[in-house]
Amino acid sequence: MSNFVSWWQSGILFGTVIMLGALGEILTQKAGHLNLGVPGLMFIGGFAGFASAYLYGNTANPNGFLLVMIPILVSIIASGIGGLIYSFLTVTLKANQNVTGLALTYIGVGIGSFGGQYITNLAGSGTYARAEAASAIFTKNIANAFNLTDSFSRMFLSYGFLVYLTIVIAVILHFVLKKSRVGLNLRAIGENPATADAAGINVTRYKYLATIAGAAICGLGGMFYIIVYCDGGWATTNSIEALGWLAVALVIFATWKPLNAIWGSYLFALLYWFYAYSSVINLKLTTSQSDLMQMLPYVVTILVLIFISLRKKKENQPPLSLGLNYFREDR
Amino acid sequence: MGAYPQFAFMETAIRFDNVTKIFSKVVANKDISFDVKKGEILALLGENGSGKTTLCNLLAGIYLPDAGTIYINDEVASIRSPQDAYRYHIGMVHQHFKLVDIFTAAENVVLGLNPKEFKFDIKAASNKIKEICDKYGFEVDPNKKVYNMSVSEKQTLEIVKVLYRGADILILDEPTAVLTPQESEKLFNVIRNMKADGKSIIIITHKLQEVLSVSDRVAILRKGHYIDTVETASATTQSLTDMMVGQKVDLNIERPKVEHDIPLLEIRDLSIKNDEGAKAIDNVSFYIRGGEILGIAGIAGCGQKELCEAIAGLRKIESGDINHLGKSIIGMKPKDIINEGIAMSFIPEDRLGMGLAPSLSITDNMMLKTYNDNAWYNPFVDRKRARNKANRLIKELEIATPSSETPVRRLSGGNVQKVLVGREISAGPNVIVTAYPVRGLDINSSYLIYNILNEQKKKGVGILFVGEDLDVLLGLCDKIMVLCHGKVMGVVHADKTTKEEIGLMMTGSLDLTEVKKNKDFGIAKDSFIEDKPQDIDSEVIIEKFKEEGVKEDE
Amino acid sequence: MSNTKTREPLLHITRKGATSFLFRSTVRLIAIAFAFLLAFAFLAAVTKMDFATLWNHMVDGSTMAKTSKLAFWKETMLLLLVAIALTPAFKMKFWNIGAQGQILIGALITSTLMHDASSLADPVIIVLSFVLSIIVGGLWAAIPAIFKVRLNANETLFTLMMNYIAVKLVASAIDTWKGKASALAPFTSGRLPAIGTNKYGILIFVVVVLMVGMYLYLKHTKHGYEISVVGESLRTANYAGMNTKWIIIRTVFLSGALCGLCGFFYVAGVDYVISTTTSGSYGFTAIIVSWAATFNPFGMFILAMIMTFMSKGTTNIGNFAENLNQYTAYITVGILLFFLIGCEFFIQYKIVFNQKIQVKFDKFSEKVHNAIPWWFSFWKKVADGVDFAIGKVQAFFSKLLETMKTKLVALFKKKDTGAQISENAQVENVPNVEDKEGSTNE
Repeated sequence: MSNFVSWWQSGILFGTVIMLGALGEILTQKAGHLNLGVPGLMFIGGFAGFASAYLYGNTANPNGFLLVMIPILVSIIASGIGGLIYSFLTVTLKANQNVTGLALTYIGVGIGSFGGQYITNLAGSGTYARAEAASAIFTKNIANAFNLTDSFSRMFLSYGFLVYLTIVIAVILHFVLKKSRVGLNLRAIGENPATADAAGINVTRYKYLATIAGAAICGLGGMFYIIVYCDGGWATTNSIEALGWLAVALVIFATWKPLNAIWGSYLFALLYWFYAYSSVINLKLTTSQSDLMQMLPYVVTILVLIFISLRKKKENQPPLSLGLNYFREDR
Repeated sequence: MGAYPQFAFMETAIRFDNVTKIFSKVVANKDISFDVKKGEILALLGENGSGKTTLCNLLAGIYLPDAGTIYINDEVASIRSPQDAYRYHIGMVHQHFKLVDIFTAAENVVLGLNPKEFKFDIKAASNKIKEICDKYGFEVDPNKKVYNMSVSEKQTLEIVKVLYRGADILILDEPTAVLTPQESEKLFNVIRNMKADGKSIIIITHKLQEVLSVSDRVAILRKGHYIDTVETASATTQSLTDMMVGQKVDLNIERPKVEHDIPLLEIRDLSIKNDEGAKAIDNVSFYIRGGEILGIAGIAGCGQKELCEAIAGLRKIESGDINHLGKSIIGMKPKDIINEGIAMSFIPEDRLGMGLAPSLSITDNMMLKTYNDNAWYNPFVDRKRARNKANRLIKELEIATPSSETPVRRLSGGNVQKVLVGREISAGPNVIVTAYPVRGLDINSSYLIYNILNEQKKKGVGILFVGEDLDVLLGLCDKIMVLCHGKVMGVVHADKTTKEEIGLMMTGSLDLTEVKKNKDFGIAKDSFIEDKPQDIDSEVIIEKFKEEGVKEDE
Repeated sequence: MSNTKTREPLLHITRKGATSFLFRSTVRLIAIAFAFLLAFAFLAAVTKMDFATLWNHMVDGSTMAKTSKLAFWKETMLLLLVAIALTPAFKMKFWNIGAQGQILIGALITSTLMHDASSLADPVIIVLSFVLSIIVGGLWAAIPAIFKVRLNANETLFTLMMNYIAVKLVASAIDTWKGKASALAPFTSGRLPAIGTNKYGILIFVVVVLMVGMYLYLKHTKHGYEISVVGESLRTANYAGMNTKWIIIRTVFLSGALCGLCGFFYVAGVDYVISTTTSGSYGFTAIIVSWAATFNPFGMFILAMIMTFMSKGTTNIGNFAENLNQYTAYITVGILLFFLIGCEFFIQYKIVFNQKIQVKFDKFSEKVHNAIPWWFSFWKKVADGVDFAIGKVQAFFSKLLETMKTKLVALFKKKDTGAQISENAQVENVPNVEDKEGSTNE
């Protein structure tokens, strides 16, 4: 049982990272932009959050509130700038979205790793550094505070506030997309930008804002990964990139619906971590077998991809103009 | 202006004063000056490319004028965006519908409105839509998704959308292009209701009959210049055409008399499904003889596309037979069908989507169907031969292009069509399937295409002509088959029918196959298909239209 | 309201017409120059070195010692190979971003042979793994292609997921092979031999042959023609009677096969060992190389050289500066990528200023023209020279092609005397059909 609970716990934490990435990407894709730069953005956000938390946390007398706000804001701003570059290239300069996204991933991984290495060198070890103070605050939770050790509390109350905030973000995103005017306009742009343009919606502004906001959410995911999931530790061998691609996969799995992303991300995470907790179902795995087990989320995504291609239900399809740049004169 | 006594008492809604719009060297509108009165229906008449749509886009805030002033209600107006246009109570219904497919009608209507408001009240919107519908006599279900709507429903929705935004000046860009005559008449009634309500309506069109039947005045544009505004009451088809084209034009399309030959292509009991899995063509039988042009009339999307694709081997059929000179071509590969001598030129709405590769040169497009004809062991394409062919067509059909290496995309619409039709004909087919070959062409280019088709007809080629404009179908074709929801409503002789009758058949109100139920329609007496039904005492043509000129015995 | 309010925006954007080769290359060169400037500004800020020192170190990175020269060509060729591999699929608008996976699978099959079949003779292992890596890489890529043509499943995301499946397969194999050891030991049998003293001779030779071959394949063969038509419009291709499903699968197979070949070279010719990061980030950078060179293999060659130069140079600068680390090259190369992507805008679109600014701009350019006339005459000469050179190169290739064609045709004609190629059957009954192709060449 306790094994199951730890599996569940790592599932929730891991799932929160990819959920944030997927939510950002859903927002971006709803505006018609396929941003393959998610791993890069998560890397940038993760590094920025970590670096600011590390540097501020090591000052003489860090303030608890600022210790929370600084990493969040810095990671949002840093990845938002990444999103800005992406939107400048794809919206204003009308560059190919796939190519631009991949370039963003490339340079994002570069910036994150370069900066991270710089900090670990500062810390002295060269391969590892830890933002302890910030991590401690971000992982404060109810279960610990009240010393609750029953399974329920450990499964549902043992996480820092960001885990719950992420679910709230998903729900808000759902309502914004579904019920608000902004969401209606945004969906119209992703489906048919020429129509939205004719209806008097500022397509360029919406695309910029959606892409930048999406990038910021992705960046938050990166920060969560370093500060909470990795307990504030930056190692040169971290695997944000793989999580970024999982987030992109999750967007398809969730069929572009934020509410689906909530359970989808936890499911992905549980599948991903199944290899480490396979004893839950009395399964003994060798290392090479557990490597194979880690394929599960990717295989599941492919199956979902095939499944939604088979179903052809209009509501489950990607936004109609996804990946296509809008140029008013072309209509 | 103001030389029209009976309109003198009416206030001016819009006044153009020397409006000019230039698109990088192409002058779309040059010094346009005229006015639109309140409560009138003004037809804006002109050929394709005469600047009608551009002018209206200036009103709708899509483009900005390079020079000149637009006055709305006698005040200088600065319309810089569609929102500005709505602020001036101007609404435009575009030719290509601006609707989001996965949204409901109500969601489409409220799109882009009240940007300050966070939530939108879909219920209130639905109620207001219903009010508008009741007032003018529309029918729109606010909760229906656009992808489930028919073309005319979509158009109604577009008009409701504009009215919802409080438009007093409505611009309709080619509103009847996709409607049946009956649906058009219904639309005109609505327009008259709106006029009675004091709204000004501008209809962009090049269909003269409609201009005469619905408008109060006609403003004519030619090649970006304003020609004149005349009162409809004093205009005739010929006088309008002369102003529109600039010189006397013979409106009659030539229909050379050719000895009809054996049936080349016979279609028997054909059923085809469309992409959504619904029946697009339902148990259709007909045939085409050598030396005749068979027109196909029908509302957009009633199976024409699927039929053409099935004949070209691009679409699987459900049941039935397509027979070319006694040989079934069902299941044959497109390539083999081409080799049989069946050519298809299909001009889709975007013109370049099928039949041509837009970014490739004319030369490369020439070898689209023949690139693989040299020896199998030769891995290379023969560009030299394709280049010769391209140069020959450029000379013969007077295609305006810098060289044979120019990408097709850079050619103008008429020249693109010439390349496509020219290539199809140069392959020497015996059956030509052509859909919308004059779509978007000006009158002179259209006539060039008609001449090319007539030349082929004289040579004994059988031609299937899918058309939009009933006047053209009536002028060019020998016989016209009318489709409604994938069913044949009858085949009539073009010179013995009327537009109204075809219109009734297009909507399914008149079904000639029902009138003569016991006959086998669409089966030639001299059919090549072996299992001819015993009782062929009638032809495809209803007796009252029967003409002796058709050669039935071979 | 007054008339002055009706003002046009400062500028608007329109599509450009045809552009000359010279113009396109100039724009790209300027973009590359700007990228280098920005990268140097970044490096200078971090290392506190001046530009001249940085430049010297950068040049040294690719040229200083014989080993660095060799490494430069190795990396250029590997990057070029992946770019060439991806090109046919991209030209067909099939977004294969699974190069990483296809390389890994090729590498995996090569490693399997080198590890498990070491009893065989080296040449046998080499030939076997050469052939198998091509086949397996192609099949790996063909899986998403099959789902694309059957169900229209999104290939971008499908190929992406396949990358990670390949990564996990490789990880699993490595864990099996290394057993209790901390790392996998390099394989000893089945290594590619050096040509003379050049360890990468075979690699360089094969890639250069592939570069020319891919150019000819895309430009002049029936397959290449089919690829361009399918990329332009699937409907048109179907209409022309092409078997589009087969063309897509075939082309993606080719793309994957060449990626597999790249995996073979990584293991058998370069690293002699496999890891999950064997392909590095070439799978992604090669996409941008192929795209920025507008699918021209010779252009890819130049871009691959520039990129490798930047990457190796940055790494070399790192040897002289504490603040840099092994990831710095990602940043400088990333800057280069962004500039290459961004400059396409200036090739495809034209910025039109409104009348007032245009008049000012015209006056300004006239002034410039009057001030330095020599520059324009110089530029004209350069342009003429480049045109001349391009003409020469093109003439060479068409001549080469003609020879190949005649040789090939002659070769097959001998074998093929008996076989009749069926003429397009014309039905006799049809009257008056215009003559077929025969009459077209007047």
